[in-house]
Amino acid sequence: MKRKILIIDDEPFLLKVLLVRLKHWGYDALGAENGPDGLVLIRQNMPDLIILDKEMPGMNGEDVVRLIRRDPALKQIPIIMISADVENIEACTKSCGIEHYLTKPCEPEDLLEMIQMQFLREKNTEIS
Amino acid sequence: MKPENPIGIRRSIATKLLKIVFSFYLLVAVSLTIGQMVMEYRYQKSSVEHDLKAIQQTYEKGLAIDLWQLDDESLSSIIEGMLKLPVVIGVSVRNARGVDVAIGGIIHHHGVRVGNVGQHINLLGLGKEVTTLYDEHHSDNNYVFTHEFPLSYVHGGKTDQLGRVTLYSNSSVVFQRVKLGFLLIVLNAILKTVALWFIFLYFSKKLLRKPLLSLASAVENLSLDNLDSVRVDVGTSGRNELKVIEDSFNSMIGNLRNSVMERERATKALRESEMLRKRVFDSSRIPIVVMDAATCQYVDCNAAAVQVYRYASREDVVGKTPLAFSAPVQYDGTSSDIKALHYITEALEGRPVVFEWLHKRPDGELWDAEVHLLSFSVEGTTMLQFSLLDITDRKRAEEATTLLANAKNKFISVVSHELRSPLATIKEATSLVREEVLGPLNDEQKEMLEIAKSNINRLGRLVNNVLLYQKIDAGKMQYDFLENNINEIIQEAYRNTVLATPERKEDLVINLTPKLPQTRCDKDKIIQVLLNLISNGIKYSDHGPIVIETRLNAHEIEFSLRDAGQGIYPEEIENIFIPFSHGRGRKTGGTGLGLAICKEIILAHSGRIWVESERGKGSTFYFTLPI
Repeated sequence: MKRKILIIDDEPFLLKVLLVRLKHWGYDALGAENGPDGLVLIRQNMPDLIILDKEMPGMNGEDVVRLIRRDPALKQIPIIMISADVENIEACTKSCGIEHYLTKPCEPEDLLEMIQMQFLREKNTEIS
Repeated sequence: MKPENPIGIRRSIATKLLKIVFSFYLLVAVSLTIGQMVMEYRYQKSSVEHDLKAIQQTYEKGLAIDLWQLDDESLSSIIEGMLKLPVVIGVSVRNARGVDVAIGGIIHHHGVRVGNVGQHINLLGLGKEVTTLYDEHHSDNNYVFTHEFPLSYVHGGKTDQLGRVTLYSNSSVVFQRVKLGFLLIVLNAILKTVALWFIFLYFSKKLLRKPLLSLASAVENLSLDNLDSVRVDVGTSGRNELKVIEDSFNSMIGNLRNSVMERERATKALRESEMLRKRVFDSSRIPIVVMDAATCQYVDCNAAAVQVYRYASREDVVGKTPLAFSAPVQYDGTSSDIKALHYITEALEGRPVVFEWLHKRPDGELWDAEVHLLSFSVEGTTMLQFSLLDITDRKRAEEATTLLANAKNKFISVVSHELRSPLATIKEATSLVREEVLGPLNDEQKEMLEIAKSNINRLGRLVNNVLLYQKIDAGKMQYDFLENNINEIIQEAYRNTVLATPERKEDLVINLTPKLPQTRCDKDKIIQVLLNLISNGIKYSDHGPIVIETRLNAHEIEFSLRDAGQGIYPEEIENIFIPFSHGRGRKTGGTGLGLAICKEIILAHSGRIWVESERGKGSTFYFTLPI
């Protein structure tokens, strides 16, 4: 069964190329251009991983994380945050309780590595 | 000049002196005159007695014969003759029985003056006694003295006592004689006294009164204004008491004149110094205000202060408190009165205080001043001096600079972030094509996409460097100093470089000194430095070795990287670590920030960084880290 990954990024072109990339890697990829749409998609599709842009107009990445974490049904979903704000991304992820982040522009290999690591860990947890 | 209140001759000291002297003189003169008179009287009295004795000798015999012979006529003429002598005032002749037989002139009987009996002779002693002729008793004040002598007649060898003769005389006779001498003496005394009086007065006036009056007049007219015109001349010659007074007076005037001149000089000097200070104070371009610490009111200010406060005159400023010129609230939000009190208290404790103060002009315009506040004391009153520097322009410029710097940082930050997102999209899109995810490519297409990739990466590094430098420039760089081994760090940087540029792997020569001590540094930052230096070395030399070495110095570890490139122009070496200064030998574009970032990081480690280069032979970059 294909893993389902949801990307939320206000940058439509990046969203598009990332979706192509993820599909190429064999994942079931979904995309949303803003927080509210993303949350709707999360509830509808229950993705295995969320890739979330930190800077978005209106509801930003941190707000989305907070809403996901507050919802008992969604709070287990792992999140990878991506951001162009190299200075604040680390502090931001720490305060949100997120372990993994990537800075834009990122290497495709790094992203793949991070996704794989996330699913591997999940698998390990399931086994144990 | 005559004294206003001349002293009359009666009250003159000369008269007083004269009175005293003449009192004594009179006493002595009168005593001497009386003495002289007494002596004279005595002398004349004895002279009278002598005369009486002489009369006795002259008339003794004649009288005895007349009595013996009972010759009335002769006796009468003798008595008459005797009475004619001025010494004799009366004569009485007594017979042996004690009866007066002849009397004449003024006689006394038993001490009682009988009076002038003329001449009466009764030689026989019969009938009435002559003394009974007059019983009328006269008295006068003249002292009577007598001379008695016996009458005896010698015949046939026997002596018969015939009776006694008494001659009368009195003091009036003596006085008669003394009178002229006495008059002469008195006259003499009076004349001498009067003469002396006038002579004394004349000379006392000449010698004492005049000089003393001229002295008095000089003293009276003396004032501090006419010291030059007043001078005393007592008009005496030689050294005497008046001369002493004159000298002392003149020397007193001299001293006064000197002290007046001295005082005038001092006053003038004081006035000049006061004026100088006033001028310096008034013409100073630095506004200065002086406040009385007790009342907290301004007591003085200079023209510059009036101008900077935008008031019309000094009087508008004096009397007001500092708060009249202050904004109600200072920059930090503290109310001006509380803040002012704080600074004033500090200044009163003797410390000069410098602070910035937001002022307000009468029209409400705000202006900034740097205030230098210090306290000083003037005759027990504590004053505070405010020197104001109008720093409004500076302050605004500073604000503008800060705003500009903030804007620049903000701009760089935003631009970097805004560049990153599209860069990420381009990178991802081209990667997808290049990796043939979307279909196979021919070699030419692949090559083009490789070029695109390398330039996308360069652009990414550029953005990173700009952001990094901005961070350093804004002082926001955080360092994480830990004990590290520099050789290990170099190895890590080497591995990264080989991964990024495998084509130059063979050129990289690592020649490290083993067992170097640990050094405290931020590993990530040092790797950044190493990567920058290595990539520079690669960039500026197409081929040839890039030698990386470490060595141990006394207190530091020295790192060096030698390339075989074109080297750096000497004039460029100086600026090589300054941002955006590419060398002329530049081949591949960089951010111009790499070396500047290296320098900042090494300086933050208290290390040194420099370059040695020879044109055409290559460059060697060095840096050190303290152990």
